[in-house]
Amino acid sequence: MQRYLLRRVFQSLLAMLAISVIAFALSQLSGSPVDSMLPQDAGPEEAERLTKLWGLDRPVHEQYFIFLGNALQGNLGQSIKWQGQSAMGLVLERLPATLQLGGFAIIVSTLIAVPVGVIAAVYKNTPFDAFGKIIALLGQAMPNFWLGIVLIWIFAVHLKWLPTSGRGGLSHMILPAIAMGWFQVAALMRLTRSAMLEVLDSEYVKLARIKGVPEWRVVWVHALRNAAIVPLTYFGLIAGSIFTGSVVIETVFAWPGTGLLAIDAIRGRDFPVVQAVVLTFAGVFILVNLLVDTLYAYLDPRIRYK
Amino acid sequence: MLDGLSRAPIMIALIATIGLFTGEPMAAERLTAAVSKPGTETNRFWAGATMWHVMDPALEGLIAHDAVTGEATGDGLASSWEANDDFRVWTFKLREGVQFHHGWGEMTADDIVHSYTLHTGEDAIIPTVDQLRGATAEAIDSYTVRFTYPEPIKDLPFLHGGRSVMKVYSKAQFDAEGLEGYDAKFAGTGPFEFVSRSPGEILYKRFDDYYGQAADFEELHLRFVDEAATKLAMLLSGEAAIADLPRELMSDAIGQGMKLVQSSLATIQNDVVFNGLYCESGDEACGDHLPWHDQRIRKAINHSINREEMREVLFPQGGADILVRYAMAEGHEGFDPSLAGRFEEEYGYNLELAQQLMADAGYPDAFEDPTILLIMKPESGLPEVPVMMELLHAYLTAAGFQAELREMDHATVGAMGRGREAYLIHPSKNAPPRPTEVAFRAFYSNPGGPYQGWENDWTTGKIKAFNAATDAAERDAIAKEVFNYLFEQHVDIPMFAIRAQLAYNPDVVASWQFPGVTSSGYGHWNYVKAAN
Repeated sequence: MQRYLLRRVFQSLLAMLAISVIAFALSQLSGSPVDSMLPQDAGPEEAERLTKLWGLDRPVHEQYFIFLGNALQGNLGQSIKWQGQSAMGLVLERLPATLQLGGFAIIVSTLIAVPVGVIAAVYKNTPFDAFGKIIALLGQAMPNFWLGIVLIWIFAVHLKWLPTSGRGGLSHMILPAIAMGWFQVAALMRLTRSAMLEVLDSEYVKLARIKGVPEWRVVWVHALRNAAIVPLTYFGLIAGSIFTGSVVIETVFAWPGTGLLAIDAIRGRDFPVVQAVVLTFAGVFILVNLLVDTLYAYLDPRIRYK
Repeated sequence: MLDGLSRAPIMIALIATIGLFTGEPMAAERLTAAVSKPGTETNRFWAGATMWHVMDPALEGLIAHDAVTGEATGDGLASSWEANDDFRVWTFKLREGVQFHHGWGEMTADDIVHSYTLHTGEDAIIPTVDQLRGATAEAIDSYTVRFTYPEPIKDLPFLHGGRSVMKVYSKAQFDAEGLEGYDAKFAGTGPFEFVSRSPGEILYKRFDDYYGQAADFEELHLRFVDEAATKLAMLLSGEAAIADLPRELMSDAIGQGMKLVQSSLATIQNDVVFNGLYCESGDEACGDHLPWHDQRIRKAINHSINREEMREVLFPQGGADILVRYAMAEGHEGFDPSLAGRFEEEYGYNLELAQQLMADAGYPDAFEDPTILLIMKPESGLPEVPVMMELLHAYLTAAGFQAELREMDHATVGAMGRGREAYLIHPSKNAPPRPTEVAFRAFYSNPGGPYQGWENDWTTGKIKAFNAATDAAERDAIAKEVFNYLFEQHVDIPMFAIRAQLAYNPDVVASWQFPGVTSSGYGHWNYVKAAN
């Protein structure tokens, strides 16, 4: 088990290094932040002054090694756009908002997807199953930005039940969490349904029924616990999707998280902040997948020996 | 089993119900406005970009503007100002008794000198700051400050007024707390004082010791929202009382009972630029291979466009014609009202004439590459630009031009301009309208400097003569000559002069008056009148 974990940690570090190279290279390819920050009537002297001030006049490889050296010490540099603030400081300031929304979105999608998936499996080829398929279809067909605007229009503008946007109490989280988690509902529901179908057909479930265990206990305790391993693996992917989805949802709902920060930083070509956001997203994604793999290995002992 | 099935919807309903009671109510005394996100979110005005509209409630420049006429007045921090004969030495007399927020004392000349130092430091990137640099700033006495420049700078009042490049910060606060003090709770002199800032919003409260027009509202809450549909929803749901909506959503807001407020004067001048014409003698960067290097082609392009139709589609609430790219504005040097009478003849929609001009120029066969390359790039405050460029593409194609529409971002076009290789036709805007000298410097014959190239020996010579002249009549005559020349050369595709527009909830706001001649577009927040 320890060797397995060590190998996975080493692989994760290699992945982070590769991501740092890619993030740095893509930032450089997008152009200079000087062009983005300068007004239209600024002359070449002003451009030259800022290029020097921000260290962009150095060779690219030199810039990368300075960046890497500082990054290893936890310093991703000063923001270009948000003068006086460190890139990592900005990300850490906004990360709780994204984690809060993402976590809530996962809860919402799980609360919808798992019951619907179980019911669809139990009542296979009935109207319940058809309902589940419709949920899956809608989940994958509706773009989240569109869904977000529709939800705002119905629940905030017309019904006035919930706020339109911004970060505040629990009420502020409901609409963006639904819009963000809706896409996941479809995939998670289908995975739960197929896993449940397989488990419900197994010998031990039949035995439980013969022994007279109540049907709700057979389904929700015995079967679901064993079927959960497949959807659980999918949670690693959900974490990634939640972060990438946050870029759109945070814009629609003016949610001040890292997604919105990423958009602003990319628009302003603020390299240090873009790199900090990408590395943080990647770090969280890798960490979640590492946890899922660990849990998976714990649940399925065969994994450890591969 | 059904008991188990019902858990999920019950929990969701429970969460939603709890949520209903946790939403933050909007205080009756608070004015909330949903505004476009500033270029930067920082309290250091000099180190940010495009922040005027969110910093103006608390920070003031030296020169104020009348809310109705837009004229620079002595009602602000500077009560008067004057220059020496050659416009190198400027002396500003300051208003006495102006208090800084948070108890940081009275504003004096030392604060102006300190603010000048901040705004011209290494980390200053505020637009146009390069024009402010180079002076020696000195406090003559507590209420007199002097700037001495090595070269004449006739339009310094514009930089301290309409452009508002420099905001006045407290030196006493800086001495006591440093920049960290500004980051935490900066002190300005405006009608509202800073309370707090968090990502996506800023909160001000009314400054009761303000020397000018007192604000009606006790608090001003600015929320930065990029998504236009969300801003409209905030307005209609009552979360915001003011929203700077794009014009395409204005009618939706008005249809739902909201009202429209416009700046009293035009805020944005918009045109489409024939770039790449860096054609002073011997300049190898001159785009003489471009179809629009030929004046007949530039004129033909202008005659191919139906501006009335475009105006109807893009700016149903109105937009005035502009005559000469940016520089010529009423009230500034060289303004020639007679050009308006010739606009139809020189620029009006006339497809037949356009095609005749194309034939005269030998288009397309006479050109190695006859492509008319139109660039679609975003312009802040002008969400109509993409549709405008699509319409332009359609008009030019209909006229027989081989037009190509390509997307490009603002920064890339800027870099190409500075590299003198922007062989493109692209949209552009100017805000606020600039005095003639500033506009000449920015937009014409400034070899090595301009972003939108129109350079030739004639223009450079005349502008040099204009800059050297100190006699008002002589300057006016030269500027007029330049404007007529540029007009007849069809140096651009002039579009429209547009007022700043916002929608407001009449249950909360009774009226608002602002001129639109400053960089913020909208401002004068203390002139927002409460409905009750």
